[in-house]
Amino acid sequence: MAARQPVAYLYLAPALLIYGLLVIAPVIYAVWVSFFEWDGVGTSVWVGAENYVSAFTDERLLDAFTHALVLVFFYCVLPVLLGLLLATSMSRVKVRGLAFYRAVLFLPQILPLVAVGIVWQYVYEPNDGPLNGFLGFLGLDGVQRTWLGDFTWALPALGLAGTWVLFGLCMVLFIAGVQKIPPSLYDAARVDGAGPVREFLAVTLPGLRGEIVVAIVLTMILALRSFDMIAVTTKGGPGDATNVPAFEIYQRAFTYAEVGSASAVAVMLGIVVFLAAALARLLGERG
Amino acid sequence: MIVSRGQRRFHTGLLVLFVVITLAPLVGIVRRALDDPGGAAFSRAWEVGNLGPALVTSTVMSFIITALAALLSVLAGYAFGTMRFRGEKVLFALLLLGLVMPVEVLVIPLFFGFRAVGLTDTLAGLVLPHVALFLSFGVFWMRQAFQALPPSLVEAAKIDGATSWTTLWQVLVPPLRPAITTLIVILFTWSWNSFLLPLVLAPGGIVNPVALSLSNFVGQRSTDYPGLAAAAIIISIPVVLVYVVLQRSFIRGVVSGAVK
Amino acid sequence: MSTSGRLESTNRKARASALCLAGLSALALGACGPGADKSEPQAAAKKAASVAQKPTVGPEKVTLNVQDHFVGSGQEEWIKEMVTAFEAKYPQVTVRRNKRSFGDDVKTQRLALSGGKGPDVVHVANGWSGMGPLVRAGLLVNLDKYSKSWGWDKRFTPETRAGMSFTSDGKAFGSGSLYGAPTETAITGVYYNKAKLKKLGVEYPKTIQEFEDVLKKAKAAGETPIQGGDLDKWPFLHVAYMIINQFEQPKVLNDWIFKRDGGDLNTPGALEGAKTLRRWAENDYFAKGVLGKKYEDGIADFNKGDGVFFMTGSWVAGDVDKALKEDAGFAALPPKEAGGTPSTTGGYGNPFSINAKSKNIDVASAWLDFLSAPEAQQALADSGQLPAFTEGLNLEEGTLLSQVADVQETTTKAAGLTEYFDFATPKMLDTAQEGIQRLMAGEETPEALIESLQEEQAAFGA
Repeated sequence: MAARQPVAYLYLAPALLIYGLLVIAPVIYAVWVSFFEWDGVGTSVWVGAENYVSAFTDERLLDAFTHALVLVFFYCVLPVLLGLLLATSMSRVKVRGLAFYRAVLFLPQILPLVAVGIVWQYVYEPNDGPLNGFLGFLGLDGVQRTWLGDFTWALPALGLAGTWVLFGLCMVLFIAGVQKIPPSLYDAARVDGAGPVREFLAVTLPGLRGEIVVAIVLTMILALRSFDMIAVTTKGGPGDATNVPAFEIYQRAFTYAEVGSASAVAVMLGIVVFLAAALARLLGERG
Repeated sequence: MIVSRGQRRFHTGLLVLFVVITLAPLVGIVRRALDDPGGAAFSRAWEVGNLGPALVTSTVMSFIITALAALLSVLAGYAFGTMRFRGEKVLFALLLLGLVMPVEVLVIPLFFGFRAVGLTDTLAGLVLPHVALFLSFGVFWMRQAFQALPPSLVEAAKIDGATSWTTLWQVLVPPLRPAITTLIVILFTWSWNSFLLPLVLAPGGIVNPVALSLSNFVGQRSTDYPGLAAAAIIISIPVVLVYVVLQRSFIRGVVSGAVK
Repeated sequence: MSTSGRLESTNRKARASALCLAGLSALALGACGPGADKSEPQAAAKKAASVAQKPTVGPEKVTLNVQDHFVGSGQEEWIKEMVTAFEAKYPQVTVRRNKRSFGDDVKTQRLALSGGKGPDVVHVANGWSGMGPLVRAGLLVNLDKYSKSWGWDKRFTPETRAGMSFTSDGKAFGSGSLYGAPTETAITGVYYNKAKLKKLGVEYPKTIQEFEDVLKKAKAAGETPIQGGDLDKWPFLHVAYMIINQFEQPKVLNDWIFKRDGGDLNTPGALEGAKTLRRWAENDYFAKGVLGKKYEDGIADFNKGDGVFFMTGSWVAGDVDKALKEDAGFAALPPKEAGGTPSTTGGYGNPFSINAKSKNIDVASAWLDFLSAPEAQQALADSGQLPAFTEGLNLEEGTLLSQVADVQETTTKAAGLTEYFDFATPKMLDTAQEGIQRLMAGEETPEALIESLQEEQAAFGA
């Protein structure tokens, strides 16, 4: 076993100091507040576990958690797969103008989220929007929907918008990772007669293992914690069809003046996210 | 490396398809910005959004946040990724809390704490919480990058008698340039577009990053969409520039084989 | 005692004392929870009571920090003019305006005001959407004395004054002391395209049944009967309120909103209103894709001539006037019976309030007075917005704005003006918005909607 290196603590110190003060302390505070009923400015009342009990029996909140899980497919699974595909495309084949492609495909990450909201409200606009227009052009009038105003389709529609925003992020993470895979490994695979798919599975994928774990964990967390997309488009609607826990927390803390309740939901969400991330890491770093 | 023309065409086609998928929706925002004839929306956006000072504020703010967070992430990632020490598993799990806990509730104690020490409505008051929150991703990413380095690299440096400091900067960081530059790009983008933290921690309008200037176009019952769209386009430009400049410096280009 | 036995009992003791400590700390923590001291709200109230009889703007140089959300609209021109005019009147005062969007502003106000550094003047949302929690936490100045000295009492009508009043303990909405001074009025009503009505061969309907008949006729003729989109969630609140207004007495609705003697929304009248909304949605009387359509697009379409009616409020009068000119009309939704009480939802727009910890309360009150004085109100009317105090103002006859003002006058005089339902509790806005969307899509019954609103109101402050 390698020797312990106490010098490690020196390298950790600055990060841990600022992190401890500005993240750990607020987290502890939030947990403490979750046991009170408090409007954020006035006096508070101790309520024990009441916030948690009412959260567990709140159907609307449980629905919100379900919606967040649905988003995992769109924010995490799809972007990671697309990112892998694109990163591989760009690094293994000499295509002209790669810099241009890289720049364009990262654009959705760069846009302020308000802009993303405008963009997708335009795409999904029921009367003049390009999606319904395209479907009509194909003769698929029956498939047309009010999308963001549809109780069934609003969540997947927002999900796809999220895929659009996030695949560029995954792509960039994987491009960085691909840089370190030694060309000799690819040459060896080629000599062995491997085609592009075998190459991908045998060389690229294992070489990107670390980056893939980070990408999956990050995007899964973004899915479960999603807030901005909902806040700038549907605000949880129609009805509460696109409500998610983070939006619920925001509403409770800033609109309903129920900071204690918001903190309880935040702790619950934090636990869910932590377990999901831990699971992803475990699977990733093992398999 | 000889690649069949068929393969090249396929990959080009794929990339073009994705470029179309990426750009097509953006037509929406360009159209909106051009709703007002003659690009009037752009000049209005500049004035109403007070974009000049906002761009300066955001540039300074994002620069400092990115530099600090990247540096601290490299240092901590170095420790987590190459050294063994007591409590490393627990510390790393704690570090993930910043990624896992919803920022919507963290921002309230941050506000009270910062106000108590007079840091609300200040640049430092915006920089510090972002650095802290970004550390979760930063350290996670750099740890994985350090772990992926060939162990022989570290061994060789040790044999040469290098200190951990020189090992880090002279031996390990150079091959990690792609990872570090990627981190910088991502953190810069996240700082630039950060909204909730500035909204709550800088409520007085003294320090105004660009994300807040967008709300100057949103009324209670009416929204100036052309202005909003134009402003969004304008404030996206600096980040695009940063990305273009940085990505050129770290992408090695096509992996070339030894076939001559 | 054997060693292991001693160890065991030591462990047990340790565990017990740990538990005691935990319990005590829990109690201690419980005793001193986050947030303000229990004594603070009373302190603020005492301060307000000891104010001078006639507030004056002293000669010292003062910077007045005003936070408002007049952004993205014509009102911003107006408020900028007012800043200049106020500074001209009182050269020793500099008004520093910090503007924010409505949503951002209201959501962060509580935090911003809770310390000593917040702005002097804040732009609050009415009722429990904004003002209520602020009053309850003692963050706003009680304006009763100022109201008397500046003479606002003479300007306000008692019903609409209720919309800005809270008891000083912050428990009851609609009675007690004044906490805000408004600058504009926001009433709901129906914009109609006169040319379209003519084409259909009808006059503006006199009863709601006639209104529904016109909707049917318009639909058959291929017109969009009621223009407007609800993607933003709030626009159809007003549609729903207006309809319910015609089936239930204003007094019953206001009693419910202000929770006077409980108040109950579970009435046949309210239910009929909800059923009517559902029926109109079912019969497709609204714009195509209404739940996925943005409010702005609805306005744009109506102004382009698509739509017979557009059910919204006074705030778009300027836009509609510019686009449709003589074809534009505005009226209240017709009552159930011909000649019934003209009824609609409306009240003062978001008022300005004063930070209880402000060091310039007198100057702030002068600012509030300045904005509600006739000169400022006339300027607001000239910019196409409906002012709070229209008496004695010069509103061009026959313009859309004067039609809107007429509706406000008639409904006020007939005591037919209801406050907005969403002011009733902090969560009412969300409950109502979501429920109405569900009702329109057929995901919820009218009974369930009314029930959910009643439940929310009953549960609040219980």
